[in-house]
Amino acid sequence: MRWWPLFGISRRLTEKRDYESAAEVRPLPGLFRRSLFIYAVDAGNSNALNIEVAALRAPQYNIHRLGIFFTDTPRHADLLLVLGQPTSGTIGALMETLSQIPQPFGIIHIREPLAAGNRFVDFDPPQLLARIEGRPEAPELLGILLKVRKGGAR
Amino acid sequence: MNLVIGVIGGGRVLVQEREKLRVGERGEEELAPELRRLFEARDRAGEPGRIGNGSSSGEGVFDFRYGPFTGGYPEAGIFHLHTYGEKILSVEVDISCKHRGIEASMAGLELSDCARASETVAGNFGFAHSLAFCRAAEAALALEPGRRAERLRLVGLELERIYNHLLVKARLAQAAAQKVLAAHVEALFEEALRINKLFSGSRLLSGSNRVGGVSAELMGVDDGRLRDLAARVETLARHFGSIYTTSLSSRNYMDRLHGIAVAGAQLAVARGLTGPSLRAAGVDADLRIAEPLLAGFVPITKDEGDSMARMEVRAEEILASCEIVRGQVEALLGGADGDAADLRGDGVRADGGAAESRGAGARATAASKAEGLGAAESATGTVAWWIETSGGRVVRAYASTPSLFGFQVFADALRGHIFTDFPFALDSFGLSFADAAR
Amino acid sequence: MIFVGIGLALFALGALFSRRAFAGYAFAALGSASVLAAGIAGLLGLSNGEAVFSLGGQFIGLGIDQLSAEFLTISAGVWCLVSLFGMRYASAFRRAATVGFNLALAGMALVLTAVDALTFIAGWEIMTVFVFIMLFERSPSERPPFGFLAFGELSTLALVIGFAALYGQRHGIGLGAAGGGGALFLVFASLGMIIKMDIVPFHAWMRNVYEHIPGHIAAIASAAVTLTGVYGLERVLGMSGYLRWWALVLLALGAISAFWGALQAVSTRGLRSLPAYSTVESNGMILAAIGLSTIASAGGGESLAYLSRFALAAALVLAIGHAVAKSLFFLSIGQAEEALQARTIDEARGLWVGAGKIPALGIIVSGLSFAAFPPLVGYVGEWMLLQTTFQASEFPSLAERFVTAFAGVFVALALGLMAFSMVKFIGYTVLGRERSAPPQAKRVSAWIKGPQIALMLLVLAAGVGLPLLLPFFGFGGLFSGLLGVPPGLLLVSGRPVFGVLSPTMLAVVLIVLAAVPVAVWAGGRRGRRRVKAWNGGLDIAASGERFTAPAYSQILQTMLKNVYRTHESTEDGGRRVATLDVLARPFGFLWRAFGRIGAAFSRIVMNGKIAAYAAYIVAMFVIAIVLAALMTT
Repeated sequence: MRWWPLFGISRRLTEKRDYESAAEVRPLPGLFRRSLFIYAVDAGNSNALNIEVAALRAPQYNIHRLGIFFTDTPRHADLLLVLGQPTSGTIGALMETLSQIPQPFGIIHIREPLAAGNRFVDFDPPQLLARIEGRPEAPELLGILLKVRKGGAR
Repeated sequence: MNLVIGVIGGGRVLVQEREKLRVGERGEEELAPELRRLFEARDRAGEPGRIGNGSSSGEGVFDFRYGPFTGGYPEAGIFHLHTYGEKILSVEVDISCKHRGIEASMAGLELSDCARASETVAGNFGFAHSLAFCRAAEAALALEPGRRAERLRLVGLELERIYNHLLVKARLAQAAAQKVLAAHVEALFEEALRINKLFSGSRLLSGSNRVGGVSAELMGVDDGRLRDLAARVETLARHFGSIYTTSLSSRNYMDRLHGIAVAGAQLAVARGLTGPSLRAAGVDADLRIAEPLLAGFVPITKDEGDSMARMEVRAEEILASCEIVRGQVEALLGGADGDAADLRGDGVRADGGAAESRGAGARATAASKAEGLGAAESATGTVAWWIETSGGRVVRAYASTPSLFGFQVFADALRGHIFTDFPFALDSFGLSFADAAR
Repeated sequence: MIFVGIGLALFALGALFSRRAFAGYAFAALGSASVLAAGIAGLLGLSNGEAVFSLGGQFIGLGIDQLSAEFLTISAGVWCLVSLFGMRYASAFRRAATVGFNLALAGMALVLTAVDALTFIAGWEIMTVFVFIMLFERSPSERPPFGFLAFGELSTLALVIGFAALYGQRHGIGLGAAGGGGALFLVFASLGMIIKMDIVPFHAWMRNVYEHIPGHIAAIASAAVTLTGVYGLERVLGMSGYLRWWALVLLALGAISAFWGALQAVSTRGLRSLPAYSTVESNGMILAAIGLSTIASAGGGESLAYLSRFALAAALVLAIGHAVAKSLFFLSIGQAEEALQARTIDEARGLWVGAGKIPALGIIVSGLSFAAFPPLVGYVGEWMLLQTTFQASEFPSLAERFVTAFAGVFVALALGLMAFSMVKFIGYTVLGRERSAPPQAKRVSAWIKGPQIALMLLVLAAGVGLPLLLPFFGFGGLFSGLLGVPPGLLLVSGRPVFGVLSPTMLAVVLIVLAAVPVAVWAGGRRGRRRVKAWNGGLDIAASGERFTAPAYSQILQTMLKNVYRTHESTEDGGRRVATLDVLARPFGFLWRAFGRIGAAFSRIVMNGKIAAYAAYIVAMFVIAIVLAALMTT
């Protein structure tokens, strides 16, 4: 039987580094600067973006110390993270989600460039803070979220 | 034991017999009605159809709809749980939200573009999908990749298996509120993704497979990186082994998994289930048995077919996959593959002669029209692509994905349980809506 | 006294002019008002007269004393408001129901003012029979109301035995004199009273009957009829000496009734059967309070004497609370049911929009009172009861302390389960959003809305205005002051001070504290918008996806599987969960046994042959003569 706190601390999993991102993120006025609550929605991605978001919860990133939290309901969210271009099957629920998030909120839309298929629909909401083309890896995704939390940057 | 995992039209079906996949003629008439309904629902995945076991009625019975956007499940899909209170009477799953029409959009595209597109069926099974597609294309064109490429493909497949199984374990631990276990397994999951990046330049191994071999970047991986890879995989196996052994002694955790969602061998085979969920029911079907480079491969099986058995199979497969990776890297470092004749740099043999073809269903090599069947054992089961090509372009593509059958078996196995058993049943199958709906 | 006479006459007129429901119920309302005046006059000490005549050495007639006045005031207030409600509401029902209504009220007035056993029994029977006639209204077949009649006659039988014992003991049938009642009288008479109060297991008839009767009749059957039982019980206990084991039995029965009523209320799904079980619970608590008062009064000392008065006041507050809130509950449900054509809780969803704000508010206020929500009268009564059980350490003997402790446990469980049931009821009917407003908004008559509003105000006033209410009913001396609470507003539960409560100040504090949230709510209208309920991003399908009331209860039904005998039953191909009320089942067996015996008897004796009929006549004649001869010797 090992003593778990000591075991965990001795692994020294949490990394100490800055998370950068080259993306341009518009500022979100009215946001509390010390915490960012994110509601992540799978709108039609290939599950790869879901995996990257799941990886963010790993102890290596330890996102709670950076003030980033994921919520289970849109009603507690500051930021809507839309993963993938919406399909005709998810656009209805996505627009309903937009109406359920309290103002002010922002949207980060991540689009996979090589997504194949013929059932995608357009998505251009006014609260868009940034549209990312590509599959950002978890450190870059964290950099984007930190940019949102700190008030946007070029 | 014949598993029917696809209906490609014209009376032909895709049949898996333990470790071999083939196209069967005139198999469509003999399908059981439930399986026939499942394939019909699959073909109409764009419409809000439901797979499962129908709805229930009675006083106080209502449909507890979970989805499409929920906090507990990361993908968009709808679960309809019919209940009168605590007990789940019947289950229906609606996969139509994630239907993107990938197979239909492949018509007329070049094979290489389709190989990239096949990865987007399910990003976390991307390597298996692209591998199966490339094998199908290679079967149609009668190409044979070189040995080094084959070994690298095996390593990639096992790395994908490792991180998917770790994710399943982490989700099960989170559901049981075993936060320490979940945190350690999530750390290993992140480490597995970084190992992927070390190996292929992409955390999810995307863009690694090409028709006829692997990508140039992957082909050019140097010995130092391979040694690093082997060391990190060994460390991961060691850590996971010790954490897994400790987790088995948590009565709380084991109690949540024991006896949940029993999918026995008969039900699983009748519904076309493959992968670790089938092996947990005692059926030793695994496509890797037929891999020539994996000599002496023995699939891991358990007997009970419940969530605990599936979790155990996945955990032991992680350790087994780490061992396979170590072995294949050793072989790669040993240089025994002798691919000095490789000139094209992407693993295709320069002589390109009439080599033995892989998979069944290959037709004449030089003809413009050809069919090919390719398969790979992904983390959740058999991924198979059957394509018709003409002049280097795809005419028709059919993908058999394991999650479709997984959802059907999940629905059948969850009946009679109570709501708190839902995450343990669902996560133990390791399914993906994107995979099921394509 | 004259007011009582006027009231009785008005009731008779109401029965006479019953062809138009408006007139019949108007007379009932006037009669009730007159009786109410009599009661208030009695409480104020203005008239304590009697109207008696002498018959064979006994005094027969009517009179008002303090106890009568208390219950006359409460009852007649409820009768009056229910009659006003019935003036427009009952216009669709049969004439027999109007006749029954008036004469049942007359019977109750007789019971509450009787000075002798004969008048009491006469009034009791009149009340039972005419309520039985009222219950026929809209019952699907002839069987269900017979259950009520059977239990009513059982209670009369017990009363007759008791009064006969009283006569045997004292050679008198007057109900006024205290002391000297004898054990037999005490046991049987109080048994008769508690049968009327629907104490477990004599509640077996309720479930089937209540489902099908109109709102105002249900209000009378539950609130008014059980109130006469409470009155009778207090009168009987005041008349006889202290019998320790019987007091403990009453206390235990009361606590178990309270628990059982709340337990069954959790699993019912009918709009009427849930409040029916709530009646069982409330009457159980009243019985427990009365039992505690009796036990305390037998012990000596000042603190126990205070406790006894406090417990009696608790019984009174519980009785007031039950009478007012239960009538309100049934009246509001009655109006809502007519508007929505609903039978079960799920069918009555969206009551706020579909039936109107007044019945919705009525259900909320009365439901919260039963769920013991401060500062309503239900909360005050239950607080007083629990405070009494907490002070059981002062009881002289171990048996009393032990039984009181267990009674407290059952009462507390009952409170929790009743809160659960009321949340289920209110949440699913009033707060459930199901409907849009009805296309033709009929104007509902003021006669229907008015009594509900009055009852709502009474529920609130009886709680907040307790410092005025209890002294008015003759229970002064229970109040004092402490710290910031002015003297006379603080209810003290024991001497020396044990627990205190000031519902008035509580109401003040709640209003002050609510000022901030209300201001925020009212002021922030700009930033607010209405959204749909969130369920994964899609609309909740109108039917089929909503959480149902049976599913809400399912968790308790699963946890307490053995008590409820929860089982799955498949009928018509659907699957549902069924529970049983195991304490009511013995009467089901008796019912069927009697049915079989009766059928067998009629087959054997009345088989159509003349010879058998003649033999039957001769046999009855002989038996009658023999009995007469035996009795005269």
